[in-house]
Amino acid sequence: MKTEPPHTWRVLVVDDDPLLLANVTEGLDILGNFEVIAASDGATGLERFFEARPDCVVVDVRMPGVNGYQFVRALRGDPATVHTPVIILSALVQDREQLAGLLSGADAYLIKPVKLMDLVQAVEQAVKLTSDERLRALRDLSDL
Amino acid sequence: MGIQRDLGFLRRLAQRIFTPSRLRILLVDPDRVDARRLASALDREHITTIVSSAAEAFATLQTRIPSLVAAELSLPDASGLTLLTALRRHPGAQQIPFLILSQRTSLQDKIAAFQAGADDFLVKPVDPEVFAGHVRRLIYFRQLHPSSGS
Repeated sequence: MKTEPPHTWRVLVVDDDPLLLANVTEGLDILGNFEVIAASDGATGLERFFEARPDCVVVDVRMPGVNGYQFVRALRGDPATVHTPVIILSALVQDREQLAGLLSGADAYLIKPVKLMDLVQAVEQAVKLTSDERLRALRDLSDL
Repeated sequence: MGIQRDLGFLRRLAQRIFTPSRLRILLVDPDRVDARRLASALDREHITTIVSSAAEAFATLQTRIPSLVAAELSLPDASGLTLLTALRRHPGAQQIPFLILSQRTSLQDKIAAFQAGADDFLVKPVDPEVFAGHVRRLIYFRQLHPSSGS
């Protein structure tokens, strides 16, 4: 009996910190068996996104040019990309920042420094979300 | 560090922070029929003014600064980005959420809009309820970030 090889998710990581980008890229590759694509700013991240069509995006907030909030809204505002799994990974620790990130449309908000296994789990959860679940979570926060 | 708060906590935080109120929204779109369709969902929550051109939008902005501007990228007399750039120079209007609407799906259009300071970019056709949701979340976002960029 043949066993299917495990599915390899393609993950785009967008962060302007080169050290973090290298660590997260390597960690996701080793721990999560993900195919990782890296981009060092929001505009390049959007270009990489449309070139590679990743299964999930991990994006920083504070970046020059196009920031992480704008990046998420760029995907959520287009029917072709609205259901892309997106995780914000940010050094901004306040609860209000988490709320801002989720209101922008992210599926999850993780705080740096993050354990790589937590990030792997967040990616695995995000790619399993259905579009209905994604929409419901967003409405829970904004339909008050 | 690491993991986010649970959604129940964040929802209670949102209920504590956000104060839904009837706000003035300026919708700039030469397609009056589509603009009215989009405004139909907003009208339950806000007061929407519809104008068809950048010139009309500038005239409206002289008399009253709205709480949010949603503008078509292609206006008959200017680009929606021209309007955005002018608004960002206007004292007291730099932080107003600005949403671009467009049928154009080119990545370069989106990147140019966000780099010019747009907060959101919706590809048409847009469902009115989806539009209202984006407007609501941008207004709440601005309550969380009253003095920062997008």
